[in-house]
Amino acid sequence: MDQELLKKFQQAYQDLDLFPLVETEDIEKFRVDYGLEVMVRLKREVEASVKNGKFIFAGHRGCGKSTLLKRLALDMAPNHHVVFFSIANLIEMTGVTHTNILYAIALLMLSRAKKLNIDVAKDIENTVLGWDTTTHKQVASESATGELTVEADFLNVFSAKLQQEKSFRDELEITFAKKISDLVGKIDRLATAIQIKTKKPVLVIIDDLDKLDLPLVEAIYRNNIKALFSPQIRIVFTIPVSAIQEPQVMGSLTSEGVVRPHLFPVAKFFKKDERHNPEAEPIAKTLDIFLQVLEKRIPDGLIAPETAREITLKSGGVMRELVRIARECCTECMVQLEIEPDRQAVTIDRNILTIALRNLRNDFARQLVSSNLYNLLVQVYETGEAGDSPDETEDSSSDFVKLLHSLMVLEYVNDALWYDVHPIVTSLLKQKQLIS
Amino acid sequence: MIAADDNTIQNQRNLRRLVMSVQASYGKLNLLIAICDNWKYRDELIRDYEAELTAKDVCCVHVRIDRSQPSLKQSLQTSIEQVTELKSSHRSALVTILGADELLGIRLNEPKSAQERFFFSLQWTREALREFQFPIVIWLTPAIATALAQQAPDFWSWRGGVFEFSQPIAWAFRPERSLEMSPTQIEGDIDEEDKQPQEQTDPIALQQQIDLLLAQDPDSPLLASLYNSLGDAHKERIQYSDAEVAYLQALKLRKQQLGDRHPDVATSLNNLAGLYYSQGRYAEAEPLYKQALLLTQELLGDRHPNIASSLNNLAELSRSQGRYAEAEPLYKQALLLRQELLGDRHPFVALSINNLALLYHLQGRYAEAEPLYKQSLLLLQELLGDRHPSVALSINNLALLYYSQGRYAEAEPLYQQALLLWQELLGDRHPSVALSINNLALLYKSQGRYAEAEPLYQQALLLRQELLGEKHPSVATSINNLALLYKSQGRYAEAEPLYKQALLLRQELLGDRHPDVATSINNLALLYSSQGRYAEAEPLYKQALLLMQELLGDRHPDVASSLNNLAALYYSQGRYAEAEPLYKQALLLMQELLGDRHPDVATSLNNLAGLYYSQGRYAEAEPLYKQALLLRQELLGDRHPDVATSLNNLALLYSSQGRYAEAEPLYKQALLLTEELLGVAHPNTITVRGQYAQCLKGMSTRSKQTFSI
Repeated sequence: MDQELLKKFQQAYQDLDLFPLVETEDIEKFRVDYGLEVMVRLKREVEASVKNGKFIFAGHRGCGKSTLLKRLALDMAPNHHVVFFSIANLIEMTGVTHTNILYAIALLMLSRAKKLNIDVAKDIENTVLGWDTTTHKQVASESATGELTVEADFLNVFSAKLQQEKSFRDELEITFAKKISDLVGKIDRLATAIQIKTKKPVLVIIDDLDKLDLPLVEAIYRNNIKALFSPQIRIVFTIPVSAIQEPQVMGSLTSEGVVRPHLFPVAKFFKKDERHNPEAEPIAKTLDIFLQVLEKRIPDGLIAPETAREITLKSGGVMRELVRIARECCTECMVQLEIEPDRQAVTIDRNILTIALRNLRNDFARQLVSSNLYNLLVQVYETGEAGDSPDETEDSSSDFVKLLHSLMVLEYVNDALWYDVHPIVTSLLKQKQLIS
Repeated sequence: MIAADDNTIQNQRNLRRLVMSVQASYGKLNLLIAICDNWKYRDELIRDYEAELTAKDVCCVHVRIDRSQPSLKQSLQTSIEQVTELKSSHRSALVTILGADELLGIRLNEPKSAQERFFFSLQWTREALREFQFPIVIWLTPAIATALAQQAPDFWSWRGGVFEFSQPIAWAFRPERSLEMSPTQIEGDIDEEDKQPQEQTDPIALQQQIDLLLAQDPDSPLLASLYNSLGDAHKERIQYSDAEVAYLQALKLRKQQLGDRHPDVATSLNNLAGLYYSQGRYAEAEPLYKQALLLTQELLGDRHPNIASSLNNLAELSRSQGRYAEAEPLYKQALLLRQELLGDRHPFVALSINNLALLYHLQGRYAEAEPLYKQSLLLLQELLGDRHPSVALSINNLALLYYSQGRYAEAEPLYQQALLLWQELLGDRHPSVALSINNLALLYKSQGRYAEAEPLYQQALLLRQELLGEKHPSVATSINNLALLYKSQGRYAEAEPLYKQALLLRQELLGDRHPDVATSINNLALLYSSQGRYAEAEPLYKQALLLMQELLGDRHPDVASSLNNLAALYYSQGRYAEAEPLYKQALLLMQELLGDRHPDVATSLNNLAGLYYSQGRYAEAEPLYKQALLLRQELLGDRHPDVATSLNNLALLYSSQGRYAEAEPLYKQALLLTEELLGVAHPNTITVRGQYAQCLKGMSTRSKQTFSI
């Protein structure tokens, strides 16, 4: 077996990482101008807004939202003191509430203030750190050993507890729920201290709030939005795309001054009415960007250009699916090298792609356990609209949501939302002769 | 070679895919989903790839999902600690996850099944998984994999590869270990205590921040928020006038920036109202509370937790003003709203129940208060566990009820329990501990255990002085209580300066026009009265009464008490004609405000009866004495010092009428009670014994007289 070739494929496999790019060097290495307009629009709005403006950002799963927000954070840094964090890193998300989101902001800002060597008022520290007597003792004894800085101490200790201990979260909830205004007052004071020190106003960006289930989202953004928006600083909140379809949530947001949420949609290769037209030319700009992604992660010569184009179109416009397909191709290549060690020049070509697509198709097929799901898929394919179940006993919204969650149905945006079936699932439907 | 069937070929190929994927991802997180519908085959596959990889010097580790806490992240973290190879990064490693395919999908007594909990943990803690830098193979069944994709879509989205192995023999695995249920432990809130000085915001530093910000960014929206915090800071330090300035500034800015109809404006109004409440400026507080409530209702709707808080505030205000009838529906409304919004099993609901109980307690509706206190306590214990400050508070309140009912024997252990708990949870140096010690002292004093009470009062006072500083209302209260003790012991010379000190402190901190100041004036007057310094007492009584009427209105129990005290003064001076109308007014007022069945009403009846007795109006005195006794027995039970007093008074009346046979059993009972409850050395006991002796003497004289004829 050609070991060098194997190593190349292994490297490509590694570079085709499915996780968001958060390391600066990764961003530099792999960055493409994907989603740039969305980011620029958001950036402009933040810059032009009132000093305590609030912004909403919604992105589809797998589109590169986190990577984009990280870029935004870097871009805003010259004029703002940016506090960027993912709520998922801090709190176990089945229990996210507006109260602990605000608490997370306070905790992060306290940590930041300490890093900046700001002399934080004792009562602020006590409020943020001292409400749980056991943790406080723990933090106190840890810093007594003098090994770690106070900041590392408390942030790790608290996030560990927030994630692992429901009792801790419950106590937090009960402690702060009745004195939210006190907590927000502390946030404002921390923001003031940071602003005075750095001469830049604070901007908070909270990622992964879009991963919350709709009931939680409603509780936060519909019922408690005023409390959530009450800190007097600029905050970018993420939100699930499904939530901005909810008229009550949107109504609530609008009444708080959020005229429109920033949507990072799935990329489109075709217009809605051309989507199943085999003759149609894909939108060059989008195609280009996706090809660029492949270029950056797969070395020259390892992939045939037409196959790259094929892979792109099979992704349906979802960045992560592009990466997934390409990765699957790499796996197939590696297997190929093993099975046929004498063969030269293994590349990602049509044959490899066919096998890769088949694997992925099987993955989807396994999840389609009911005929209703198939019916729904056909319906979406034909109408381009959100599915309605013909069978009244089924909960159509949750079936449709299942399809959305697993990316078997993809959501696109014009003025309104429209839907299409994932290209790989489409071939499954064709295989089963459910569509022509 | 026998032609292997398609299935076998596919399985083989998938195994290769799996191995290649693993080999391409050493030192990086890669989530590989392996699906198998046959556990024996699964184990075989694991053996196969581990054999191959171990031969290539790869460290292969098994991690089993803990069924009681099904979290991938947890399980991995625990393993990492134990397996050194996983920590070091130069040796290649692969982790195989077992046990995920054994998780049950059925909910037993828990709200979520083990599978559901596992999926949730995958979905929500997946970011943390990125700290693990090695490939992971997770074995699932087809059904579990499908469910996972649906319930943990973002985790699913991160899958690095899916490998299906099929050998359709019936799934033979039957998990046999019993499930352990994770205990639900919800910790509760920390009740509003007097903040310790180090927890308080330093207003000077805060003002500096405001100044700096004003210079840098004068129209920053942060300023309104900072002024509000400044108001809070001043209020904590009892710097009320400075607090008012800050709160008003915050309100002004908010109205400017947000208009009149904004929740932050409602908050500002509420804060200002709270300040006025603390200052005893009830008349000014009330409209602001109402305004805040109305605004909140308009902006946030009727069903918002802030509404419950607002209602509670108004209820508190009414209660403080003695408008108990008004307070009750407000408390109930707040409770109902909280039950609706938060469910029955929430600490806020427990606290709301506690507040209602407190109201009933004050109204003397002890029978209604007791079950509510107990309910609140039980609920808090269930929700927060036995070791929580709120639970200590609840125990304290129940003890307070028993104390009011004269159930001293039941109160004492509860007070001690509360004290111990607070000491354990909050340390020896905490205002709640001081409160507890104070309450215990109060109990001892009522029992006449003056020797035990005194050091406790002093301890509480000292603690409060240290924790809260010299200039704090709680310190004034403690000084007042110590003075009360001395007065009870007849140590008038020591009591007087303390009463004066308490009064001065209260005037300084709370201003001249505060109910607590009125109380202090009243107490000083009581002292003078006891010393026979009637001329000095009278103007003070009148001052106290006037002030209370102004601050609390005409219809407040404290006003009734004030009337009663003035009447008692006149009575002591023999000014019966002036005393009588005041006594009657006091009694009427108390009956209206507190209902017929309140211990204070019994006291009032007793006093009026005492007046009639002194005037020789025995026929009018007797029914009142009897009524008082019956009431006390009903409300306070048979074993209360006040019952002893009533027995004694009626006995005295009978004795004076020569009705010795009727008097004697009453005296006997009274003496037994006072000796038991108050001790043999208590002034009351001595009085009763003396009067009993007189009665017996009278009886024997009578019998002697009769005999001689």
